[in-house]
Amino acid sequence: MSNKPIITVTNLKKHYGDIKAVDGVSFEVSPGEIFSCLGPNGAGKTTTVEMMEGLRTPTSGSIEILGADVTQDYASIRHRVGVLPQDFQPFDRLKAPEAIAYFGGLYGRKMTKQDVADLIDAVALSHRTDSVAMKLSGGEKRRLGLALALVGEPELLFLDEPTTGLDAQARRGLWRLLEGLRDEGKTIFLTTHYLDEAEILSDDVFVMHKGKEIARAPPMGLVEQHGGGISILLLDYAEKSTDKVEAMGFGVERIRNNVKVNLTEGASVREAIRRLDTSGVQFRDLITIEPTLEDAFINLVGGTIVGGELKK
Amino acid sequence: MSRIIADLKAFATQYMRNPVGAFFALVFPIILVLIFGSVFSQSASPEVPLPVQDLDGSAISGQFLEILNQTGTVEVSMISPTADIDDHIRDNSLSAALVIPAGFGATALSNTSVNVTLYGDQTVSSYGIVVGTVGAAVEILDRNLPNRTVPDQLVGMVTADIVGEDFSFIDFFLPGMIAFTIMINGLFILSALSAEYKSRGYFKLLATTPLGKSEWVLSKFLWFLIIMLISIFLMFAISIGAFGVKVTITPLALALILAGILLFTSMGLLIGVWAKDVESASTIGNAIGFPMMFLSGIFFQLEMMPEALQVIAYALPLTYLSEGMRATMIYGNDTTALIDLAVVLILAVFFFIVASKLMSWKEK
Ligand SMILES: Nc1ncnc2c1ncn2[C@@H]1O[C@H](COP(=O)(O)OP(=O)(O)OP(=O)(O)O)[C@@H](O)[C@H]1O
Ligand SMILES: [Mg+2]
Repeated sequence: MSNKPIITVTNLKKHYGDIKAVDGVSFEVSPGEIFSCLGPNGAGKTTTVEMMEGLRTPTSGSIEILGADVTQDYASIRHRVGVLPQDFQPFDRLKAPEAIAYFGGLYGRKMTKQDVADLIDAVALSHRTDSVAMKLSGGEKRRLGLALALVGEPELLFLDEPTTGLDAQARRGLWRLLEGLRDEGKTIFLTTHYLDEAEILSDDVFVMHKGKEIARAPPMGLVEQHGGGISILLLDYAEKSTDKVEAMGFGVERIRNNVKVNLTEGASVREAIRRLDTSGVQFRDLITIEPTLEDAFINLVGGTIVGGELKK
Repeated sequence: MSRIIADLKAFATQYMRNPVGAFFALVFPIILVLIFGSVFSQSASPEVPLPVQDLDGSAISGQFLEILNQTGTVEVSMISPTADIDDHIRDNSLSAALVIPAGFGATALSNTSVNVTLYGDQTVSSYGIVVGTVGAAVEILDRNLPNRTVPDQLVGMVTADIVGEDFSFIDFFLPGMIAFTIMINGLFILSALSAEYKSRGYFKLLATTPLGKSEWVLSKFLWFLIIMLISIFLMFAISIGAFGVKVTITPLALALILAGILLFTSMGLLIGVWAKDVESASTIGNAIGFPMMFLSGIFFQLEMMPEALQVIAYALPLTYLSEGMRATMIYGNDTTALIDLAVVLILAVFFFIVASKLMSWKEK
């Protein structure tokens, strides 16, 4: 597979009056990867993807996708790209197989009944083929939207929050599906505000906040760079104060009746455990905790995302 | 082309599943045809209408009109003295008309014979009543002429044939009804539809597919053409079955139907893409559609309306469509129909271009 980027975005900006929805982002997406754009509500994710889909005109900057300049010539690549908008709404009065056949026609794909059934099966909607879309649940509509994005057998997929509104089982099913698509060589650009989703699914994470890039690396790289050190959790901490632990030079955080001890990056875990153990501080047991993408995110953005919102 | 067919098929499915669309296209026009058809075929007045053109305006002609009125068998109405009688008869599909010539009174008073002319369609059942009534009135007038110095009958009646089919109210109503149906479906359905496509993000979604804007518009136009042709067919079938209408679709009427669909779908589209949401689209659609319904001569003749409203009527696109349809289907007046067709076509192209320009599938 060639390493020439399939998407090249350079210094992209979109301003709405004083609102700088997207404020100078640049990135490249390699063919065959899952690229996540991660950020809280209002970060500028949708504005960015919709500019990439030719739906909004950038204030400035350039977007090259599949060799085409999107602002000039999106029409030439439309048939090679599949899109799931964040605010996707299905056509109310079409049943899932009809909607899929419709989009198949738009993409010039001759679909047999079996093709349609396979696609419906892939998004786990086989039991809902007799209902018009307005009778589907929110999650089912979203999955139908994903199927429509896939109808044209696109090389590149733009999925704006594909799993929002899906239950845990459906989310995992969708992750499997996306991984399968990546294995087939398709490139997936998705936006999400689920940290676990970005961590599990992506080859690359682009952290976005207030229209700007905060960080960009593979998930493990982000954790290594920004996750901070390992921490040790002292279970059922029995002392009144944490002064003794702090005196040893550790960062300390009380979590109910436990105490979390943050080690500096690169510090020896064994050494820290030995010192805590021999300090005479009373606790029942201890466990070590590795930093996650969430820790990295907290360190980068100064808060974590709960239900899409940034929580300090 | 395959994209248009795919879009057309999917749209037809959705349309047929939505009772509103099918109601306005297929059920509503039939209901109106049945209501108006039965109301007006029942209320036929016992007096036979007899429009009279009095070119004389003398005391004698006034006396003659009085006599006619008193017979109680004809209902006299006046035709303007400036009207061309042949045109007037054709344009209003009259089955009878009476002309009192200029100098009628003076000639009779100078003891010279003079005739009124009765135009009549012999195939109409009321023809005999009219001939008998006018003949009798002429004799009464003759007998009562003052200063008579000769014994001969001075005032007489000659007849002239009106050849033409006997069109009833429903014949008159049907072309207008077709125009009306095209208007409400194009304007109301498409304005609501395109506003919905905008607000629900369907345009945005379609913009990411290979379907082009013009292909989408063309598919809607084709669908409305199909559904309108079905609707027109049904209206004819019902009108023939229930009221025995005689009018038929002419090639010019077909051209007007096509131009009318383009006009009103484009107007609907324009309203839909311009309005900020579905509610405002339907409000604007109603604000434009309802005056047209009542002022464009669909349910009653333009000539029956006050002068001021007639001026307004000619500012409304539907007037030209319904007038053109009637001109070609009833009066065989192709000149009028062609002018109306030209007006409708020019408006259609204008609205189509403006709507296409204004319709954006993207955000700004
Ligand atoms: N059409 C618009 N006019 C004005 N402001 C806009 C417009 N579109 C987006 N914005 C603003 O730009 C910012 C970025 O919005 P955007 O939808 O891209 O965020 P997002 O990252 O997709 O958020 P979410 O997770 O909630 O979907 C927000 O502050 C939003 O209010
Ligand atoms: Mg968004």
